[in-house]
Amino acid sequence: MAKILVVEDEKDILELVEISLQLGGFEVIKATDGLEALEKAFTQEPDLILLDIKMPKLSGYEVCKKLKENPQTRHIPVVFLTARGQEHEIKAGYEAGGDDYIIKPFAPDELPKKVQEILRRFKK
Amino acid sequence: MRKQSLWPALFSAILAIAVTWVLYRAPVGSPLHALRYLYFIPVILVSFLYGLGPGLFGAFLVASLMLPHILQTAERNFFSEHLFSLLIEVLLLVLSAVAVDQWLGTQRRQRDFYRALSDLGELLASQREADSLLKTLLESLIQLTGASWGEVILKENKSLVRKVVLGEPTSRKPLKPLAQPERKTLADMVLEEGRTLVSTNLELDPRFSRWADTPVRFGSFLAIPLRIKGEPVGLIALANKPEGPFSPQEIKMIEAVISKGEIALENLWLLESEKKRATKLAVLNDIARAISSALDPKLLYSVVHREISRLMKAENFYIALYNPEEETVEFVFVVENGKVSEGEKRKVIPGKGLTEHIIFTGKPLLLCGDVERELKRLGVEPIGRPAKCWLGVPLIIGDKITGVMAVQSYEEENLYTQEDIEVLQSIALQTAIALENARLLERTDEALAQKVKELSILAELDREMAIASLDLERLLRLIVDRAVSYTGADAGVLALMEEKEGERGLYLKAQVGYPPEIEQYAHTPYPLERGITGRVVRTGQAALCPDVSLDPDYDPVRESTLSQLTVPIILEGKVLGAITLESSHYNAFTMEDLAFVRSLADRAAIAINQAMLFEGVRQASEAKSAFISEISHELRNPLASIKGYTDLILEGKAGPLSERQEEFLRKVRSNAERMQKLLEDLSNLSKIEAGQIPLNIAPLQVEEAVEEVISIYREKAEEKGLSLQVEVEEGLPPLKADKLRFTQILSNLLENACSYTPQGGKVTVKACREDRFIKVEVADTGIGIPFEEQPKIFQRFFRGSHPMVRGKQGTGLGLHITKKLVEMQGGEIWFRSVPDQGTTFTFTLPVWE
Repeated sequence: MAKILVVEDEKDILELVEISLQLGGFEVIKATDGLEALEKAFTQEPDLILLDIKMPKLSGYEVCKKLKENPQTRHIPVVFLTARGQEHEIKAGYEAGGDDYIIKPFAPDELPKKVQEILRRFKK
Repeated sequence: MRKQSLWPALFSAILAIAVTWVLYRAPVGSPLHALRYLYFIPVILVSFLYGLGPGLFGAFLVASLMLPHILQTAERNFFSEHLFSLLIEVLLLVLSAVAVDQWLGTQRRQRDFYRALSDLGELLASQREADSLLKTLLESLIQLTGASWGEVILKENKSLVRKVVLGEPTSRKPLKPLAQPERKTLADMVLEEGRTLVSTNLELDPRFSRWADTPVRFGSFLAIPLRIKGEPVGLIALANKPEGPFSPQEIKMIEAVISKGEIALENLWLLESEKKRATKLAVLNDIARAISSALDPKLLYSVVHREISRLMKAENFYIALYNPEEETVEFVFVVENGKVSEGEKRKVIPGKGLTEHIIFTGKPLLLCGDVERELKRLGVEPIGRPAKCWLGVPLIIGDKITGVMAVQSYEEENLYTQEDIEVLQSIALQTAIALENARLLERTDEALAQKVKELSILAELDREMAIASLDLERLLRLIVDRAVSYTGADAGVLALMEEKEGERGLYLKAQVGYPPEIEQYAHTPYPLERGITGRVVRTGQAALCPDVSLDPDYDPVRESTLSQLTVPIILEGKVLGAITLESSHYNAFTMEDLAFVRSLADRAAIAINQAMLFEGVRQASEAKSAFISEISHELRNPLASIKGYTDLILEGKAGPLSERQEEFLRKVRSNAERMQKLLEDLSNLSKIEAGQIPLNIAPLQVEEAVEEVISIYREKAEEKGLSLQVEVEEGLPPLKADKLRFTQILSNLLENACSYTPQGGKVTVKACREDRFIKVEVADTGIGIPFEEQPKIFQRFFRGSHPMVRGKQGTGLGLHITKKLVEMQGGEIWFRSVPDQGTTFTFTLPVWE
């Protein structure tokens, strides 16, 4: 069972993502800010990280940069959660080292499918 | 005089002998014998016709030939009455011959004289030059009188000039004026009194001083004035006649000869003055013509010089121009000994230089003779090589003296006359006009060029200012740059009043030509209390300092600055800053520069104002867009939660739902979706309006992009029972557009077309090239747009009144955003619509070139 780290400061959304992923058969680790995300990424070694951009303490970009700088976490695919109509976020996300993006809002049944797809791509 | 010949005398003698022989042979008492005394008739006839000499010769020849006959007769009747009567006859004959000869001789001499006089008149009249005429006249007089010395003196320019001298000693020295200022000479007396002077021996005559400073000793002497129109113009002196003093009769003859000379001279002078006048007129005419054609001053000078040379000696000539502002004279054209050379420019100092003297007096000046004494009298200290004769006239325009024109001679003392002054003056007048014209033209030319330059700079600035996204810093740099290049300044700076970190003062905005230290004022203010610039900003008064050392406020920032121009930048009475220009020359800035920099300052003020307004608008717009972005983000998350959980419940993840619960939850979800769309559009729009949408312009393949969008809608169209057709022209060039935005535009249009076309309808997308654009058409067979709504459809938040429109979720922002996106990429959008028949939207985007 793949372990997904979800980083999102909005608790309701975080929970929604968690439920959606759990329903899709994933193990979910949660983090509500950048620092926590880094800590969990190092300690729990997730298979994939879903990363929100606007967060307190450390932004999603900064978290991503730090993850990609570190050899221990470099291999973990990072997927940004970007808002629709904020296309510049996609570009900035790639620049920060992100591997893919998912546009919010998403339908709960679509999210696990998308994550599965990305994981499959990375396993190759 | 006719040549004497012996033949007539011989002939008359033979005739006389023959007649006498016949007469004496005749017997006494015959009629012929009675006529024997008529034999002397031939003798008298010969005397009459050929003069006394031949007559007497003939008489004596007859007498001697007749002697044997007389002696023969005398043998017979010696001392007879015959002999006595014969002697008486011979004596009578001789006496009558002498008397006739005397009478006839005088007549003849007179006749010969008049004949000679008439010849001389002709000879004199044929002379082309005064000098040769006078010489011929003197030669004739000397020949006529037998005088061994003679001279002709003429009055020229108030002094007497010896024109011709004949006889010993033949002086080859240049002719010297005879007049001596201290005392009157004999020649002066002759001319003043206009009377003939005769002396039997001038050397011994106690009444007179010596005639002249020649070593000639004069015996008999005669001086006759030469008169033209009754006025004595000169004299002819003759001396040392071998036969003694001049007789009254001779004097009369001489006077007659001289009068012939006078007539010839008068005519010659008239002719010469006519000629001179004609030449003068021609020269003036030529100069006038040259003037109208030669607008190049250098050419004009040489033309003027060439023309003057036709009227007078001008081997040493110059034209000097006076500059009253600089107080200098510049010798713009100098001819020295016939060679054109470069002239100097010098400061005008009163009392120094003849040129300066003319400039001060404004009057022509002719210096002849004792030039040094004249200069002393005028109080003028000459500059340069002293001339022996100097003639200068002012160049005058109106009442302004613009320069001096002068001719001079280093050798000849009396080269120029009063008449030359007039000639030179009239040429000077023409020249001054010509120079003024040339100057005006040059100035007009310059002014025109300057104006063009000025206007093009201002136009450039205006263009720069018209750009919506005004870059103020760039514009200010441009203004300083143009101010410096236009005025020829060495450095320029523009500073604005600002408050930064609580420090109020002048902050440097743009500079050219200053040392790098000046850049400190970009961060720390230049105090208002300092320098000319500070004063200008405090007072709002521009400062034009021809010499900065004279301005007590001057604060040196740049080492070599000598003059400065500072103009305040004023907007609505408030000083915003200043433009300062500095030059390493004195007096570098003119009033024109000031006016021009003022207009630059005005532009700077407007631009600053405009930039401030822009900045305000930009900030407001940015704030609004930031606010909207913030709000939509803040709203987005709760909405996402609402929608997400609704989805979960609807999917049955929270347990089974009643039908009614499901129906209500679907409404919740649909409204949440609508709100999401609204937020998205709002955020998009605010970004477009704030100019914050980054365009990623790249070559875009139309067919590919269209196909991509179509693929999204194909399914939807099928669901709705619509036929979706694509007609893209083959071989279309790529578009110059942002792919994401193109997709957005086409999606919006297709979304509308599909939404508002009832089942069974048709939606067609066409793309074709039109000139340098690609035209994309989205046509449907839908409900159309009511005519009264057509003008409003691109307006924000406008939604159509048709139930099909009302029945669909929408924000009323879609077409507004679409239009903005098209226009942002240099395209246009329009539509055609007929209610119930359909609508065709068309947009264009430029081709990639």
